[in-house]
Amino acid sequence: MDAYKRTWFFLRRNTLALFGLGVLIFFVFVAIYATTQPLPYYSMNSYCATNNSNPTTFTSQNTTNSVPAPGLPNGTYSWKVLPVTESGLRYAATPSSGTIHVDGTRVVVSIVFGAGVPSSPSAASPSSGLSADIKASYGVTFVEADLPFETPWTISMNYTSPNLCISQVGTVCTYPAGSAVPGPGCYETPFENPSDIAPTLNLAKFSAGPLPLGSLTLNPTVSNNFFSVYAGLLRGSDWSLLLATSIVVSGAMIGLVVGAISGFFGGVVDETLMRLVDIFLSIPQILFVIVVIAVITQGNHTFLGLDANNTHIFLLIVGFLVTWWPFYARVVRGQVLVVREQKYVEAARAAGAGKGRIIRRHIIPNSIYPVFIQMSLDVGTIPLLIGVLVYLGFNIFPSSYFPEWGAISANSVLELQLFLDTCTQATGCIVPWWQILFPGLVLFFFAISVNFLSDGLRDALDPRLRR
Amino acid sequence: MRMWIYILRRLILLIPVVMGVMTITFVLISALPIPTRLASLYGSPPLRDARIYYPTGPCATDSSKNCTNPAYAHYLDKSGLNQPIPYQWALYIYNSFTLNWGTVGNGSTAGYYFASAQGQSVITVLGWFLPYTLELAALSLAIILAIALPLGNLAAVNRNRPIDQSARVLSFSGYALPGFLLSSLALMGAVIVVGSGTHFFASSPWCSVGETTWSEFSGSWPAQNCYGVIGNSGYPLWLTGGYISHPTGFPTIDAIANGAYWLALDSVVRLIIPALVIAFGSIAILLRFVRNSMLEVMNLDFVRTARAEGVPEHTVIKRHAGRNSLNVTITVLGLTFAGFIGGFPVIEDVFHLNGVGLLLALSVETAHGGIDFGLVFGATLLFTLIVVVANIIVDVLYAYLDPRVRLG
Repeated sequence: MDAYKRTWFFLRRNTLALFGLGVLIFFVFVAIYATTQPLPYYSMNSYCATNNSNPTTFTSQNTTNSVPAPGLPNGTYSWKVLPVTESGLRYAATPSSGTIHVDGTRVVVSIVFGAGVPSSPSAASPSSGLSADIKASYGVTFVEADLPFETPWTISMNYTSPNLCISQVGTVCTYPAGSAVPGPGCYETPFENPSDIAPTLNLAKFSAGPLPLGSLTLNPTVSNNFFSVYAGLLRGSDWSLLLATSIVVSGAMIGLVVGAISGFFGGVVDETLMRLVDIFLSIPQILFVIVVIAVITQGNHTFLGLDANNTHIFLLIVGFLVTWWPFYARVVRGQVLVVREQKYVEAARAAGAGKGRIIRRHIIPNSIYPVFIQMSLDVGTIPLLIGVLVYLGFNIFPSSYFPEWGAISANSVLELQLFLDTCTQATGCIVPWWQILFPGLVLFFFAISVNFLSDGLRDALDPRLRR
Repeated sequence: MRMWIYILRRLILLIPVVMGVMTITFVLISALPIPTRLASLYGSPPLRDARIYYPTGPCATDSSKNCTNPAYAHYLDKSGLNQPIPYQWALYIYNSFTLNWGTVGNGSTAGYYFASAQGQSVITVLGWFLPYTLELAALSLAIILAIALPLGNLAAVNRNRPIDQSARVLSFSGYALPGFLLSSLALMGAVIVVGSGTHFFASSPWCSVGETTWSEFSGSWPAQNCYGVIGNSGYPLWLTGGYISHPTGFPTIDAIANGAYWLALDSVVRLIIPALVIAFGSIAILLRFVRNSMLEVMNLDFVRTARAEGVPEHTVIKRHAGRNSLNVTITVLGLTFAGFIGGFPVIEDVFHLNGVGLLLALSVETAHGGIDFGLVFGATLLFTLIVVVANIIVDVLYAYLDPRVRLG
């Protein structure tokens, strides 16, 4: 068969493996590209202040009169009613705070003042409640009415515009939903969670804002406390690849040596080494890393020159390594037991080769293929395990916004849970889908690509499956 | 006869393995400061007696004769922590084998949420929570076996055909998605699909007080672990006396034993989604090994002979090839079991099941106190023992199925 046909058949047979290899190489290039970009990956500070950063407050008192309020610009306002203590009775409003959206139409908000509760045990008995209808009409007047009797109460309304600027990509500001766009390059944010910024990819115009995949934040109710998902995923590629390859390659080397020695020499050496492997195999991986990190960060003692503040990534690698190498040892030992009985090993010994030479030249090259397969599988698993650690709350990275794929997806799931617990409205809570989808997709493609690669490697290298 | 010798041999070899694991835990424990170790052995003292474990002054960390704090010296002597390391190691091994694994303290998140666990021995508390984990593990294993074995056989028989490719892609997607992601999405999906999202934003979404759809797919009975609200779950009191159900402590079995069949069904329903999430992650690995071992076996001579004799293909696959490919499958099952026990903390945290994984996750959380090392090391030892026992069962099964192992 000529070369073209052979190539074509090779591509047809190993399509998935080549696809996986291609995706992996893409990730490697992304990691290399990321290191050239000066993207900040800690929380981004606000660099610009506009004239909307001071809240506009007005108060009304003595509600028997309708007091015209200063003109309200269109926008979303948060209001609150402060509780009032009068004659030893304390009146609180339900709801006591909320938001209204002024856009030129009439808005009605109903507030019920609860029954006056004695603010001290010796005060008078409670009286009946109060109610008020507060109407904000078109642009100008804020009318309070319908209170049964005169009571001083205060309603204050705040109009604040969360202003978020992202450095190094130009000035970006945001404005609350529904208001006018202050200027070019501005992105809308929800008023309640100003740090949850949706993706700003504008495919029709082939333009992308500085947050093309949205923002990720751990405190959605605080402004200026987020980072760009795109930047995080980009930077995360080099950290994830670095951690995964260092753990896996070191584990494979240790496991290869132990497995080869154990398999080749047999007897007592084999038994003791296999018991050692059993011991380390029995320890669940994540548990061991948790214990190691918990123990080292517990005291303020130093352990081999590492103390609680600067050790975490090193501890992560060592913790995973301790429980990772036994897999390789077991796999290599199985293969060495088979290779040891082959004829070429016997021939080499008959020709006078020493044990070291046989191990080096004959045994290890022929028993290394499961190591490659296992390595390519494990590389995809490690970011997931790191994500589990971050999900359980371990601060294994120096910053809570550290760009690492597993950390990003764990933080996004934690924030989703926080969001589900705090979102009390029936509608209008925007689920931050972009924070979960994109990191999840990246992890998914990474793991799948290494899986396809490992399958292709096995089909190519496994002598038992050859026809 | 050789079977019993094999089993005996495996059981005898269990002891050095367990001792090795205990040695590793001991190395980690000895890196802790002494007051923490005392707290993990005897539980945290009430705050007014904090001077017992955390004394100030000359006796802070000193156990010499100059120590003037009699309580501290007493506890030091009792725990053997002022003896040299080999003595401490031997004492630790002895305590671990006699199941004297320490006491749960009141200064951790686990002690905060599970108030009646404070002061109890670690073994007792682990025994309260273990049946839930075992039930979840059993259900997950059943689902994994039910899906992975037929699918793996099918994928091996139709090698590289579309069904093989799609089975691999489907299973890899489960392997590629992290557990916490999948479980949150699954719970949300269940609420949206079953409950039409109507109770999505219930005021107390995590507690089974009331009839929210969210709560129907998570949580455990009899003891509800609404964070901060520990009380009656609405189930009959004769089943919910404390943290364990009677008589066995396994909720489903006890419900059946007491005749409350609906409760048994309910507890299984609460376990379905977590079990599916766990199974989804593990099916990939098992599927790959089933497929490979089937492929290997189908190339062997006796299969070719059977085909040449005219045996129908499905009989060949089921009887001749299938049985012989169970070896690797069983080994991988043992490894899978080891793998997903370590993944339980996340699943149990998201779905609010009262298992050992949740206990572990809470005891390493520092939100309401420090880390409870008694529970942490106790859970580590427990998980390790479970893995070792599972491996022994797997080896025994393997030896039962494959005579070459017994005799070779």
